[in-house]
Amino acid sequence: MSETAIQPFAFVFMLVSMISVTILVAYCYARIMRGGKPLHDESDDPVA
Amino acid sequence: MTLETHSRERWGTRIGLILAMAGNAVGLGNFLRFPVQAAQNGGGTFMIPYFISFLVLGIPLMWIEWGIGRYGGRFGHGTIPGMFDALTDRRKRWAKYAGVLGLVMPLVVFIYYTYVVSWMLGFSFFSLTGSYFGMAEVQQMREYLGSYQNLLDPSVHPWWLAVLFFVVTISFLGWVLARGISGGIEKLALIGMPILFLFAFVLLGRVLTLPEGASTPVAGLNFIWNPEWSSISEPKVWLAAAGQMFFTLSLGMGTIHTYASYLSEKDDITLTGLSTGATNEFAEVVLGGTIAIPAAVVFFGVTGAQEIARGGSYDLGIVAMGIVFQGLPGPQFLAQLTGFLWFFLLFIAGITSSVALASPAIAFLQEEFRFRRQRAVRAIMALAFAVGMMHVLFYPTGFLDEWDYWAGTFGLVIFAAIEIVLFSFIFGIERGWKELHLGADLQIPPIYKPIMKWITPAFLCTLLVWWSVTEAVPTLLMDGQAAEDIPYLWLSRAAMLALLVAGLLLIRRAWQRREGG
Repeated sequence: MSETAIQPFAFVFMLVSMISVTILVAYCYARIMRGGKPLHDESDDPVA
Repeated sequence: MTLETHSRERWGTRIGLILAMAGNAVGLGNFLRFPVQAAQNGGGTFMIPYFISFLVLGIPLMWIEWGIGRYGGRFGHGTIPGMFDALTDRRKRWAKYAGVLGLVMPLVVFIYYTYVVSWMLGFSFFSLTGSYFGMAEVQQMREYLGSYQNLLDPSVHPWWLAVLFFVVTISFLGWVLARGISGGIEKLALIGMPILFLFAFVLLGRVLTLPEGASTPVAGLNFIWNPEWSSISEPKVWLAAAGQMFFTLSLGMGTIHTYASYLSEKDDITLTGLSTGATNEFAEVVLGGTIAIPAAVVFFGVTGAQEIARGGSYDLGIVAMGIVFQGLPGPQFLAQLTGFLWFFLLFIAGITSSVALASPAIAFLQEEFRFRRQRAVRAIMALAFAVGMMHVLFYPTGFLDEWDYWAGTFGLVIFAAIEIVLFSFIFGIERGWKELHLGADLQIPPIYKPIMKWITPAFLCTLLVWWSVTEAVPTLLMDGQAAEDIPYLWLSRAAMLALLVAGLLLIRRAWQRREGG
């Protein structure tokens, strides 16, 4: 293994892994900001 | 008996809830355990079982825990005994006793984890003062830190220093917890998590721009991610990935349940749950994998870093990083500041998890014994300090490792196996599926119904059997332990068992009080 460079497969695994989790985070927060409702709407009746 | 509903404390905002849940999940393991596990289990190919575990074990179990928590909260239960009782429609008397694991295990982990977190506060302080600068050899650094952890070794640090940082950490946690869910835990997450991410990005930038030393940062990335194709067929790699998923998402602990119990049935848990899991994965894969090991490779070379990684997370995150900071180019105060950023990042990651770990026991005292929150917090913090002092005193004997294994590792899988059987087979997967989708902002793909019923339990059982055979039996028999440490290990087990028995007795007493009106 080279001491100074990244191997092509290592690079691919790293990139795919990092991009996957970044997309997942972006998707979740975009969904929340676009249409997610706030917690326990104040107008709701209390549960009790 | 009918299932009555109760009004309880609530989270203030959705983002606060997500960050608090993410704070629960993002802990020391994201930055220390993950890169070591990846490097030791096939590098890049580790990510294949890792992501599969995320999809078929982590995500479904996390949704189930959110669902159980919110369902239990509707009936006034913030802890597992009551939640299991509610899940079985109060028809299985044993269910609440089985829930003792979800009450006692987080408390047990809280006690020793908080002690470890207090080290991070101590090392943040040592970094700022530069007190370990000048100890550039691994052995010197081990002795420096060993003196901090061993009260009987005053060669570097006075005996009271570890106690002082432990007291400061517990006092701070008590102060946060006493302020309540929205006013304490949520505020800590809203302040702490952005700081954690900021520090992590600064450190990531610093590590990736390090000049060539024994090697380069890129070689460090290569060390973590270079795939070993043969490892993909090894069961131990798959089980290591599944195990990492447990630790990183804080599954099988009882903490997600307690946090979720402060939601109403109209609050979404599917998208919010997925968001916390995704935030945790980002912290782990993108940030956790890019700081400690590349930094160690630059200073020790690939072979040296391999040796260090073999020594475990502690050697990598504290001993090696302590040396790395001393060798950073530029003025010493900047190197000290970088050391502070690293250890304080770990401290924040730790305290946001610690508040979650303490929450089930506090909720139990509040709900089952009508303690005011402040009184419940004081009681739990006093207990944690008293019992935690055993860890402070006996740490060098392996006292803490014993708790970490039985409560923080093996116990998680046992608890998760019980909860998934209760949810999927006794509560019923159809009923459970509907429960998860109450107020949902995200429809869970239907494929997850059979996954939750069959694949996740099968995965868990395999993990349980494998760990029983390969680790639990040798650990139980104390294989390889030094003869002089054995009495302390028995004492460690006895203390844990005493907490478990106390938990069972308290559950019995609580239900007697409930039934007696």
